[in-house]
Amino acid sequence: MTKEEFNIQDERLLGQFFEKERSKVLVVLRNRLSISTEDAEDIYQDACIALFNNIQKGKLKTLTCSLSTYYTQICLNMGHNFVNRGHSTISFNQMLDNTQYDEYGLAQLEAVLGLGDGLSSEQTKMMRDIVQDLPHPCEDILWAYYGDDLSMKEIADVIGFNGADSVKSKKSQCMSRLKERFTRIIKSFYE
Amino acid sequence: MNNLENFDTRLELFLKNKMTEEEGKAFLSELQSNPDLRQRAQTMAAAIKNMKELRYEHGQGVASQIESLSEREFRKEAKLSHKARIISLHAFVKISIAACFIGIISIGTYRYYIYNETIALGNSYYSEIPTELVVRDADDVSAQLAQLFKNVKNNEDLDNTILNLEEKFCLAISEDFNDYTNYINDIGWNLAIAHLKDGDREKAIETLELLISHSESDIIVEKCKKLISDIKQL
Repeated sequence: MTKEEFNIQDERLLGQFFEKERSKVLVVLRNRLSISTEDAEDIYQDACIALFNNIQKGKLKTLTCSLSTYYTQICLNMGHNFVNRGHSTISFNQMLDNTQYDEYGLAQLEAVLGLGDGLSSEQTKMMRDIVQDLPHPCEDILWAYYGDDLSMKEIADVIGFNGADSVKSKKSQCMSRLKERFTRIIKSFYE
Repeated sequence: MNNLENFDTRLELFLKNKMTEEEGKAFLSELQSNPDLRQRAQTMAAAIKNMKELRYEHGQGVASQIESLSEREFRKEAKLSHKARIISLHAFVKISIAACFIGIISIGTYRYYIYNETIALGNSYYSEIPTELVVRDADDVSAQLAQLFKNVKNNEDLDNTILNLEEKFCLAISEDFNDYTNYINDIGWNLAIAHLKDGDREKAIETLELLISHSESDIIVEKCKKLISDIKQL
């Protein structure tokens, strides 16, 4: 890959990140805190600047959750502060620091994965490849549900589905296909 | 809900650490004794774990990119349409001190400008920006501001009105959202006009310049720039 191609890819990475985060944040703030789209837009932009400042100050060096989760939590904290209209006792810096949020515990995941003979490194790599190559809209739905912990309704609003039931049905199909593909690959690997 | 859906729900509760210790142990024991359920659980756990890891790595890449950008480049990448209100704490303190000094030093300012022309300019520009007060909440804040704006319009009790408006303008332009944030344009504009009617062109210009730097309205910014230009021509 040439330097130009690499730079173009970097730009797309950033652009796609903010495009996805913006869609998600507007939906989450509206659904969870009843904040208008206009005010949610302001919060999104303010949170972007806060994120930029924190990265420049090196505050994300010890981050244990994903950047997306961290950024969403900043927006939610700002949203709560906005809703409380300055009556909140939490300071601005506390609002940014209170972002180490992680829904799925690593200990619980490892406890399940370690049962029986556990998964081999090859099997783990196979799953990584499957997850990385999920087709649309499975990637969006599963990432949103398991990665961002969005509700079915929120996922429907972000992705543009008809409603929560449509998302639930599609999620179930996506997980079934993921499991089938994983099982099929493991069987062919050991045949 | 069928048995498999029920199992998936229980698995998610376990993975999110929402079971009691006893429930968790019982769940793991069930998986240990049932190979089919164990395989189903391990497939889901592996998928979730890899999603988390990939999402984390992706975020690290994005953060590295952001780290290499200037603020201007970052704003372009994030498509930020206007200057966000958040500023560094240091800048906030400086602006707050500057805004408060405007209030503190305005009393006793030496009026060496052409008094009547200054007041006339204030009168002529008063009606250019219609206040949005009537469409907002009918609460104490609105009532207070309505009285202050009325004082400016009628040239009544200008000294106290200016002090009041300066205090509220200080709050309106501050970093934290408060009762006056949404009235920044009305307060800033009326304060600038009040200074003009008080014969103080310098304070009017300072107020207008602060309003330009904080207002999100292109119309207000243009009006402020025009008024500054007219003041300087007096």
